[in-house]
Amino acid sequence: MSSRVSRRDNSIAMLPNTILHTLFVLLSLACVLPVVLVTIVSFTDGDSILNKGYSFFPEKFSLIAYTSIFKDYGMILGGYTVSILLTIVGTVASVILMALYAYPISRSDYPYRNFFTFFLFFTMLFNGGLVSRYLVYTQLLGLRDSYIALLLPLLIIPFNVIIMRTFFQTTIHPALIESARIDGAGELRIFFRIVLPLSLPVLATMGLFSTINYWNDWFNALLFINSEHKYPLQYLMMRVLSDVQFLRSNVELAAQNPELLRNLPNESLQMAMAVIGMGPILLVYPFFQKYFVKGLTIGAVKG
Amino acid sequence: MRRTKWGWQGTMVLTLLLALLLQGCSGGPANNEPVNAGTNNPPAASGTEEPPATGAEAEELEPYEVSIVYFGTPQRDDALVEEKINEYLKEKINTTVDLRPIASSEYKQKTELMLNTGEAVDLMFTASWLGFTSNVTKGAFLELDELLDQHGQGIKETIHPLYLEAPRYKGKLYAVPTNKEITQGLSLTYRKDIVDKYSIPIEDINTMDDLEPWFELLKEKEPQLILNYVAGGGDNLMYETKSNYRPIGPTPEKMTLFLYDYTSTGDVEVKSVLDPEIVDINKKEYELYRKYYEKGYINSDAATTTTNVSDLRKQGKIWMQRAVWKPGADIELKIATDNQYDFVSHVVEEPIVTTDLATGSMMSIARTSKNPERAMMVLNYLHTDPYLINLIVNGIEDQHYKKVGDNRIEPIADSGYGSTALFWVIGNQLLNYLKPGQPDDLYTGWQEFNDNATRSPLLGFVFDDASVKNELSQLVAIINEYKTISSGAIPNPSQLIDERNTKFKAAGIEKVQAEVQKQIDAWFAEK
Amino acid sequence: MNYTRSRGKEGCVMRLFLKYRYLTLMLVPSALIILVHSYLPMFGVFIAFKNINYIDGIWGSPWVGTDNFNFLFTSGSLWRITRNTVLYSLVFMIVNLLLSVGIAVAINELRGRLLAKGYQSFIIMPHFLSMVVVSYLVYAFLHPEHGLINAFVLEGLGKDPVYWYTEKSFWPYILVLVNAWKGIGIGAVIYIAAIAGIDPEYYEAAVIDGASKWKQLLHITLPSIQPVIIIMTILSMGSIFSADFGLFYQVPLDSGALYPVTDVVDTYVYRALMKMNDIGMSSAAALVQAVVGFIMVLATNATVRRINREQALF
Repeated sequence: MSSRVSRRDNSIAMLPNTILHTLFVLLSLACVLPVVLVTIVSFTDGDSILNKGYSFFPEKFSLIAYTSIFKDYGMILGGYTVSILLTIVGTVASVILMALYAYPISRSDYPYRNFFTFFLFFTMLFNGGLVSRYLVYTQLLGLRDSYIALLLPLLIIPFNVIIMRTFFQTTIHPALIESARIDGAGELRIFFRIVLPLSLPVLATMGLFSTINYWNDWFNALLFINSEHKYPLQYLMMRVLSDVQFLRSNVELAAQNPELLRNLPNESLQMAMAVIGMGPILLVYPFFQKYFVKGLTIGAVKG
Repeated sequence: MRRTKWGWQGTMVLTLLLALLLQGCSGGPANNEPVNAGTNNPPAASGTEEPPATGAEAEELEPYEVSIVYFGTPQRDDALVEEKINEYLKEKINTTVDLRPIASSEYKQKTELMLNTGEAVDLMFTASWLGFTSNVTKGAFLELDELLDQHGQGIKETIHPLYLEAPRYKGKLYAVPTNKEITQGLSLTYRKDIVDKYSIPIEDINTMDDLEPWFELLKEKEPQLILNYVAGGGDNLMYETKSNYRPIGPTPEKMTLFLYDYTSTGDVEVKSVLDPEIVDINKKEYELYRKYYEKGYINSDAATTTTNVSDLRKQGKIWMQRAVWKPGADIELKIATDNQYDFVSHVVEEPIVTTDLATGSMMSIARTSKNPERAMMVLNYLHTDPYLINLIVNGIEDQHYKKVGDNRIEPIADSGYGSTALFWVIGNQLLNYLKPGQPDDLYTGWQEFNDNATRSPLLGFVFDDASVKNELSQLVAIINEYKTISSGAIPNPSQLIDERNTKFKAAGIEKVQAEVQKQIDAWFAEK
Repeated sequence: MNYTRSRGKEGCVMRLFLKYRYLTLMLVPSALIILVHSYLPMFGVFIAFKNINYIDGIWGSPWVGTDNFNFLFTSGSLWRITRNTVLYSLVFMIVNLLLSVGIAVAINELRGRLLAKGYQSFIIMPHFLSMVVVSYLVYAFLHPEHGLINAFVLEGLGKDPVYWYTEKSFWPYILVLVNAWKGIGIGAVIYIAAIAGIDPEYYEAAVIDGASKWKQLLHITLPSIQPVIIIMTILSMGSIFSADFGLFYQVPLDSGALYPVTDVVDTYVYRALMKMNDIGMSSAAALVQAVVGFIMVLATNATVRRINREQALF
């Protein structure tokens, strides 16, 4: 055991540290303020927006956007339930399945690794297009209006599998596996007892990516779901936003039927929906990040 | 590299095998039939061995579920309403329905997926602006003439005959329009209080040029107003106030590319926007808007505004607008401002019945329907039965609305149904209950309006774009690029028009024009 | 390499398979999912060569050769959309790579872990906003009348307002900025994870040898995360001929005056085909994008392979 060099001995000098902090504060502001602005606009009175545009300090606040959304709270609650369950199940399944695929193709001694790498990789480049996917899902697999149609498309993200593979390749030393095998451990045992615990950072990262993917997915719901109570939250939010855009670009239709425009949500309502849609994930993220940082520390004390 | 290649080839072989396999299971039986042919339909669809549409009709009606795909945001109580409809129709014609509303923004994409994959659907909402023609030419819908005769007598009796002239392709009927006002005129519509205050002689104002002195006056006296609200651009031209030209042929992105003189009798000559006379109108109009923009009569964000005009109207910032006109239009606008402002209109364009307008909202029967007869029966009910049509449009009495008169209702706020505007989508609007604000004589006014409307010489002509798709796709790109020049927010519109027209020419606008002319001539010859 | 050696001996194939059966077993479930989700629909590629009608269905519709591709290649704006797409992809790739790696390295060096953690959660925030919402935000800055820039900054400086949405010269910068703003947070997370995987003993040894921070960065950190950088680069080469539709369509508010600098393959195809209702033509466009991406990736991979065999993707 070499004597540990404490972190402090190897950290940067005070001046660059201050400069870096300043830069990061500015960068963080650039990233946070727009989100804050969205939130403030969602609490702004509609007329204030029309007259003055978006502002951090609006003339008049109003809760009307939220009250009108939560008037139909049954729908919102239903959407949240579907989204949360889907995200949890999807994230867990996705991380496990991707790790199971990434590990073998990261092993340089695995004979079929080139084939399976390419098998995975090829799907990133070619796809059969929307129509044939719709055909396969609805007619071959019979997944219309099924939650599985929401789960399946995001289970294996080739890009993420390849990142995982690289992580395994660079951090899991072959000697480690070799010595475990000499101790009599089987492949599965090696994977679950040695590889996974050493890979927490990447697992946490992929978990975060999957969470984001599942939470934000609305397109698959658009394609495959018909029952109103099965829609995830993002889809419900997205639908309102795209309806607004649709009517805006179909001026004629709107002109013929002024009533179509009448109940159109104004911008504060649209922003409120964005807040409702992204709120939970912004709340969950710090938790993930905590785990993520824990993963970092585990990575740091190994050896 | 060698191993890579092996992997690649292996993958391809695998894919091919799978493709073949798939072809074997779903494509095998059907070469002339819709793909799905019941591949995956649960036994719910009762009569799988249904005889073809023209075959002998069953004596006793077996139970059948008619699916109705329509343009409207799903509502909370859709299922309740569906249940009520089923109760009623079960008794009448042993039929149930499956309501499948699809939100506006995704309607086109979703229905096209259904059609492409041969999903079984019975009634489907369609319209000129939803690609009706191209769907018909691709064979998406069934011919309805015979079905209408057999099971749609009620429709034939109630609907204005001009309606059934429009949705035709090669002489065959492919859809039944919603019964409402058959066309719209164009009007300049004003806020009444402003007109009264400054005694503006709206009857004398027929073009945008005529408005200039009033813009000037109001700019000074009513600075809070947006004098001429323009959103986005697109085709803001008013050819109609300056000529007898009306659009014909493909109007991608709502942009008028080809025009004809609607008063012409006999042969119709197609002109394109490259025609010197049209170019002249074009330039004058755009330069005028540019002048208005520079003087501040037009909103500064005209090219890109994302504001909902309805919000501005409610705020009282809009005093004048070009609006579509039909009897009751002013009242519709008043309702749309929550009854804050009264409006008055002066009609500047004579309403004529064109294919485009008369096919603005229709129901067709999909080719994949397993029981087209039943679908037509349901459609017939939707056109003739006040109980049924009000059920689907307004919901259930005392739950979604209160009846306050013989033919008049008061919607219950946030009741879970009736907030989506379905009246113009389904069946017969003339049977809809009147809502607060609508005058008692609304529907008689419409009937009169329909009877008096001028018939375009080209009513019933539809353009088949199959042979000029390449040209059209390029024209669309150019149209989009230049559409904002009509808003006034872009300097030098005349120069840009020339630039645009040069590009149009290069993209083959003349070829399309010749094709339009050819098809019109052929259409006349056939008649 | 084990594999190549043993491949020659026929008898080995079975033994090899048995030896690694558990590893194979591990990836079978995922492979099946990939097969169903990605490979089965690939048969749809042939749609690009057909003129689909609903009577004959997808299988029975007539073949039309390469007719569906014509609209892409006869377009007068072919050069423009190709140039825009490829250039933006390259610039985005480089800018985001530099910024993400820079941020990851810097966050890792910061004193005060709590603050570093805070920064990290903040810079990822824009990633959660949909492009529609982003387009409203950008509009809030660039609105001709009450946009923050015109109303406060330019007016404060006593300058004339700029009509952003009709003035194309600014948009290449705006798009790069918005793209970076939205993307670097998530990119940085990947590199932070990669840096976390570096064995701390390297740094300890470096400190004992008296290596400066700069030296450590050059000789330990960057070389260690180089594989990740290379893979990310190869992967983004695959999408060089595709663009983020939301960024190029929603954010410039589809303003025609900006097309010379905002029109990319995806927006062009969308606009051209939106009203056309022709899946043959859209499949053709998608196929062209896929083939170009495929070639780019193979080429990049071959280049990487030539320089360093170990770091190639395959």
